[in-house]
Amino acid sequence: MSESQMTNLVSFSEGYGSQRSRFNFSPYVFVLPCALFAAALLFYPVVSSLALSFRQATVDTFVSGDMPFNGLTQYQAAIGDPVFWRAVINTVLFTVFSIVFQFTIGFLLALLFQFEFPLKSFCLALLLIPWVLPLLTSANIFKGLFNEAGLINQLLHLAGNRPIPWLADRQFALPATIVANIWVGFPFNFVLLYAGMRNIPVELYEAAKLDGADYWRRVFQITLPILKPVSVSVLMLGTVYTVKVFDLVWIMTGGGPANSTHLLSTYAYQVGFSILNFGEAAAIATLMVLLLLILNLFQLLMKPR
Amino acid sequence: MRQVRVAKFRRASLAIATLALLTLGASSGYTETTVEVIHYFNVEGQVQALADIQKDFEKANPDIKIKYTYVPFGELVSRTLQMAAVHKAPAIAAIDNPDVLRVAKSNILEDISQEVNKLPIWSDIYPGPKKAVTADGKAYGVPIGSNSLALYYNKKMLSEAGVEPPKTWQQLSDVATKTTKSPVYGIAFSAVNTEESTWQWEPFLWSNGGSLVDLTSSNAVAALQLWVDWVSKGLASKDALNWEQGDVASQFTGGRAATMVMGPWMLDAVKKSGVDFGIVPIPVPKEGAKPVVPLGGECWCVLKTNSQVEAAAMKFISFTEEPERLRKLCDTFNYISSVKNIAKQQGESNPQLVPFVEQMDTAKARSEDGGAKYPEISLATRTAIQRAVSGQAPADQALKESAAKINSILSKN
Amino acid sequence: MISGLSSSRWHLTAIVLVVTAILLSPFYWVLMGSFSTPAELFGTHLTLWPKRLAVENWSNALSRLWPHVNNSLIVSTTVSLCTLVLTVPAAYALVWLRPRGGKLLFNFLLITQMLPAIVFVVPLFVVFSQANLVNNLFGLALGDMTFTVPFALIMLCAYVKDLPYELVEAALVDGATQFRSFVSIVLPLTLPGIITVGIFSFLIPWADLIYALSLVTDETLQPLTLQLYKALGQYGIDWSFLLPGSVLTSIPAVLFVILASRFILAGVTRGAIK
Repeated sequence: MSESQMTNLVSFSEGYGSQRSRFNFSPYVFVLPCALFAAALLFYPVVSSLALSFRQATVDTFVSGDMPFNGLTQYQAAIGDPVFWRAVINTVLFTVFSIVFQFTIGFLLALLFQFEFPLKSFCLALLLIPWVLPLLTSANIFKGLFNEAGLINQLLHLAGNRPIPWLADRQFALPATIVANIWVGFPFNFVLLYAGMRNIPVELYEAAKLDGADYWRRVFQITLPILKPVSVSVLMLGTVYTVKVFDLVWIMTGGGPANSTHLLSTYAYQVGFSILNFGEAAAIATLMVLLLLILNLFQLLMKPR
Repeated sequence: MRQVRVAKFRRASLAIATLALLTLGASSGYTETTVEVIHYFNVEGQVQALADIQKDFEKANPDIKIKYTYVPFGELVSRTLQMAAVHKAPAIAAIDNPDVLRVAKSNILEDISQEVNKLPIWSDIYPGPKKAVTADGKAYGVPIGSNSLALYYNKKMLSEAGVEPPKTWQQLSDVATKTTKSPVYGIAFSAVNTEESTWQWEPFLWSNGGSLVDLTSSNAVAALQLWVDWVSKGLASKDALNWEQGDVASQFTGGRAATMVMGPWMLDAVKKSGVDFGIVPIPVPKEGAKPVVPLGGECWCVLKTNSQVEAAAMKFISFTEEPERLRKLCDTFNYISSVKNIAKQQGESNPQLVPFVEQMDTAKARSEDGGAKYPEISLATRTAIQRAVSGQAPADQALKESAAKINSILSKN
Repeated sequence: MISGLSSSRWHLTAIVLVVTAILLSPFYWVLMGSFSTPAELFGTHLTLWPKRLAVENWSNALSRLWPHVNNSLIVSTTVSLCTLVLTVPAAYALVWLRPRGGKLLFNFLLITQMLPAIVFVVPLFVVFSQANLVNNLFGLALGDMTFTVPFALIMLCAYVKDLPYELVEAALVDGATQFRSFVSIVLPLTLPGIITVGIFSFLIPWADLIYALSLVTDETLQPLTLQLYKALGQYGIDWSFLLPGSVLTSIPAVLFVILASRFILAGVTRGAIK
């Protein structure tokens, strides 16, 4: 570290805990690169997308650049489309079920991995495979598994049941994609929660054990509360990412059969790239953010800042 | 802040670009033109064929360099539009024929009517492919090759069931019924939520006299009912709703389907699989009717860049369309040539291609139904297909709803 | 710290391996399929293991993918390091020092995470084309960072918040050795979080398709995922390339995680629940 950075650290610790009213340079130094990055590469796309949602941006106008302003037309078109609302419901169902299972499985695994045992890092890495495997492949594998002649129906057959046309049936297609999404997403929750649990000091557990608390009591009274910030972040990010899931559903069902498994992301893509109505796609994306904000409102208000 | 950074980049790259241009101009005696060709061909044989053409062309035209840019299949149109929007358009785009008119509407394709009339093969092109690239008397592309759909059948399965290869719908349903025996289905086709299902349905719709712009007609309803009945009677798997054409072929080669609706591009793969198969033209509604199949295949389109690049681009296109070279290209790409003469030659040297060649006389370009609006119309159509085949709605109701949507699409400007 | 008899340790390993096997069962299909021919994959009998191991699938996939490993490595490493450099200091500052506008930045980044990738890809393509950052590995890294930077900041803030207040205050109050105490006490406490975020910032670009698709058309610069995407041809999926290719693409990522996770496991031994 250089001289100036040492100096910064000095003022860093001086500002820490002291009067907030005194204007302090150093926190801004730490935050500046990140803020610059956000301004340069994140702000422009967000604003441009918002602008696009209010303009008629289709094949003809997009290239010439003179996309006429047409106000809320695209929003109205999107909201008036029953497929849009189907997509909203599907997105909410998809997200809620995925998150609940992913988080639970991830949490339980993280607990399990708090113990020391041989081959631990090997197993940790193995459990990341569902997340690391290219989505292209995972989606196609699950598509194959849920095929009429696929493995899952074969297992059902062995158990004496009739085969279910998973991906061809309106009732079963979305659950099939949810199962696939749980498989792909649990490692994310697992590893992040695991790292969070590593931080909890052993002394707290020792003390609780002395007090006579059993294992699960210790988990509920110590692990869960202390893990709250990490859990909230994982849940929040998990929700956001799940709402954005696109490739998985697109490859498995393409939004079908007959638009019954469209998520907002796949629907926006279809509008944007299959019929090249970029303006309406941008409107759908913005509505997606609104939906997410509503879903996250509770967590945002609760956010311990 | 962001603007400063972007402006800085612009200035820097402008400076670098100017420098580069100056040095280039100074060092070479003449200016070399680069013709960028954007495409989605990625099968081994196709890539090799393209490379060979590049080598021959550059040898014959030392002042032109060819640069191939591959993009994935579904991205070609949007990528071309994006590149044009930032003024970095490629010289040539190999566009799938139903998309040509839509891309032309965005005003990025050059009108090459004059140049194509100079091509010796132009007058010999089948009417179908020609319609796909012409609008208002202007030509926006040159077909590279065509393909369509026919019926592949498993010889062993049909003979075991005691049936002949079908010629009419009734015979086809009959064949399907007699060859369906778990785990084998009588027929396999694609009803997936992409262009592929509209494409696969069109032979049945059009051969029955229907049209995409009038889906409420009894011809259309009957054509869709055919598919609905196959699935509801168990002659075809409900998974057809999820199968792309590649999956359909896998079903056939894996011995899970007795017949399949497929095009010539699968010939090699099916041959390699060892299945003893035959091909007949698409069965027609009634004896003696002519099959009307949709046209597949890509077209060379020239984008608006500058006169030098466009001239070089046309040179390249004419080069590929020279009869002998075109013949070789079509054979490698598993196309039926869009040129009558060459197609007939192909049929003579490979009898399995004969059904496809025969169908070329009556084949129809997809964009005939709706012009630049075809992609949107196709989307509405396949929604109806999926709803009816999955049993969500009866065929006539599903078609009625989609027809309403199509009418509103057509009335928009 | 490690309680119980030494035999119970392998007991745990066995449980974990069983759980892992169950959770990873779809992956078995990937492995089995990678050694099969296309006809076998869709044949009428589902076998537990192909009759003949089609090793040529693997050698073919390896030769097609090997030239591109470098590209993916460069991009992922750059993204991971740059993301950490940008976000680690920012996270500490945002949580402890609470500068004005910090909450705004945080919430803005959260909102950007809510937008689908296509919203970013198209405008970035436009800007990058003009800045000559298209067909440029650093440009691709910047593009990927639009996803990893917000993610990293959000997670790191949570990990930093996790630190017991008293510990941090105690470590930093001692004027003479604050830098040393920062490095030796505060940093190690958040190291698991930092490493984890670094790992994900490596893995996310490794698996990225959409940014690479738009920003890199030059064949020689393409990362592994784009090469794999070629398996989705016009005519259907080339399973004999996709399956072994996917495993091959995943191997470096898994190796990286094994290496890096030692830092999470070995570094801080304080966090075990007993």
